Amino acid sequence: MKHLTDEQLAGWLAGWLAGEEEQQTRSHLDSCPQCNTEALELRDGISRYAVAMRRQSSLAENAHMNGKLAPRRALALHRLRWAGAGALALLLVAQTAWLVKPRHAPATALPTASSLVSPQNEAQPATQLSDDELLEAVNNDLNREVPLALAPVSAITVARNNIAAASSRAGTTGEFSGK
Amino acid sequence: MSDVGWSAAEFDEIMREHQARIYRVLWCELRDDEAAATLTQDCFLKAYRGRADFRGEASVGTWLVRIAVNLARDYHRNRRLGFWRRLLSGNVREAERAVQMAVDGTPRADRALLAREQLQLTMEAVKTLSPQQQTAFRLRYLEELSVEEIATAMRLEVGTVKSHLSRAVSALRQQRNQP
Repeated sequence: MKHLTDEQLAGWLAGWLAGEEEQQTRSHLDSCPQCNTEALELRDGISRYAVAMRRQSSLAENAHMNGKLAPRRALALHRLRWAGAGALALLLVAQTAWLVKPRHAPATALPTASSLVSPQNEAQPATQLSDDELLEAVNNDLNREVPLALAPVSAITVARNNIAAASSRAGTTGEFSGK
Repeated sequence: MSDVGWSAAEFDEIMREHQARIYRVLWCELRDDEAAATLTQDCFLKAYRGRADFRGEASVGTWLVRIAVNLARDYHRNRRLGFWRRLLSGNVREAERAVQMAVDGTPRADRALLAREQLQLTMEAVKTLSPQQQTAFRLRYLEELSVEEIATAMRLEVGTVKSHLSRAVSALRQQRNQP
């Protein structure tokens, strides 16, 4: 028996199949236990991946986005910061000029505005999370709670596929061809 | 929707509605809590400044995802941060050992074991994909964008998106069939 191609399986998982191709893929999944098992396992794995990433991302967001400014305020602060930087630079230029002038010293390179006020440009990579660390965090989650049904790959796709599988097992023909 | 209809207050509302998704997209791309938070702000700032460019061909959400994907790509291109990432990659081995110890040392319920294996398999498979394939995969299964929306967000042809998703399935199958 010729098994499903990557494209067919991807189309089934992502939900882009239509018409005859969709019918063929579905009827093959109904009649081929090997492809059926593989498809369901891949779908479950993707679902778990999506749930894990969402959960970890949500935790990180809660920890790091609280107190962040709305765009308008951020924009205003951004402008204020640059205005302050400009004023500070001017002040330093004036002060340096005042200090340098009486001694007839040669002009030295003055600090630029950006060099004075750009601590935010420093690289700060300290919290980058590797796959393994992520997996460990997810493992901890899984150990605390093992939900029977993790969130589906796509509610519509999964519901449709589940219904199709159930009806197939019950001996009915595929009446769920519509999207 | 055009910028004519967007007051600053309305834009704040848009930000509240889409912040979690944008943070998630960036966090998944960068795996860096702080950088994701900063770029989330940058994303909305950029969108706010460039709101006149929004023509309404795509949804606001897809438009914001496109900006976020571009910001993540630019971030990755930054050589200085690339240096820090490489420097920090030495920690991966330690994390691997920690995960292995956790796996070996603690009994698991069968269901949790299966869940973890499926998750690990998916994560390993995703790691083998190109950055662009990973992005397409996550936009489909985490953000549940359609292939057409992914094509818009990533400025790709629909066929290319399907090809990326098929490649992901191929990688998943390879991982699953490994002894």
